Amino acid sequence: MRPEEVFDPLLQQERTSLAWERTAFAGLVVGLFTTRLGATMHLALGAIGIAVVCVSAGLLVWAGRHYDDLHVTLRAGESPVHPAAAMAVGIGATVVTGLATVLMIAAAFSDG
Amino acid sequence: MSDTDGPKRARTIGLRPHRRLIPPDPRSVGHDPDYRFTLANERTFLAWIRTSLALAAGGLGAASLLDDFSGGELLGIGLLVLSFVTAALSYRRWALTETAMRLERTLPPSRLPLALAIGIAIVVVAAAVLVAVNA
Repeated sequence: MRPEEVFDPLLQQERTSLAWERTAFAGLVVGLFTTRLGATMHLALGAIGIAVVCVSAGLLVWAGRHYDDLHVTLRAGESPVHPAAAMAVGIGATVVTGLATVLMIAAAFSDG
Repeated sequence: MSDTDGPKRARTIGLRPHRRLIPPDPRSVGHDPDYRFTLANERTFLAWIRTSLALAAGGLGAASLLDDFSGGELLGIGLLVLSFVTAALSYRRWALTETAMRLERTLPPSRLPLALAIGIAIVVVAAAVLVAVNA
């Protein structure tokens, strides 16, 4: 829902929204890089890269919408806490970095 | 959180192993803190995730771009391991901090900044040694 005016003069939710968007950009960079590597090193890396790009693009759009939605939450005096989003991003980053680590170790060993 | 006898901060001691890494939903205890604190905690969590992603990009870059450099893969794997550890602990850090805020306890300190600094220092020193050996 589009807000008619900003809730907080310190622009807290805008800064938080930008933090989400920067995180999504970082995800896009890692995803594109992983996809590029997948083309030459390991096909599984390419699949992970494409998945990371798709999820990061979705996160970017969500972050923009979430910024608008937060105005309603804050005006209602409710907490903006969002454990599901934090858990999804935390577990997603853990799975992606874990898989990249395992694949890179496997590639190093297979090269001898 | 039932450990009210210990120091007044959020702790994971006594929780089952997976709960130590993924603590319970902070909303299950206490009351809503000032929204600015919640948003600041969220931004800090996101900064940790970006740090992890930057390390992953560095690790993948080292492993692939330093192809003709012996030990490049090792540097890449080192950075990727640091990236994984950072990502794996970031939600835990967020949840413990949010829980402490909700219980009006002092925020739990983190060893992650020091551990990460030491880890990156080791990788950089190893990179310097490898550059000297490869020269």
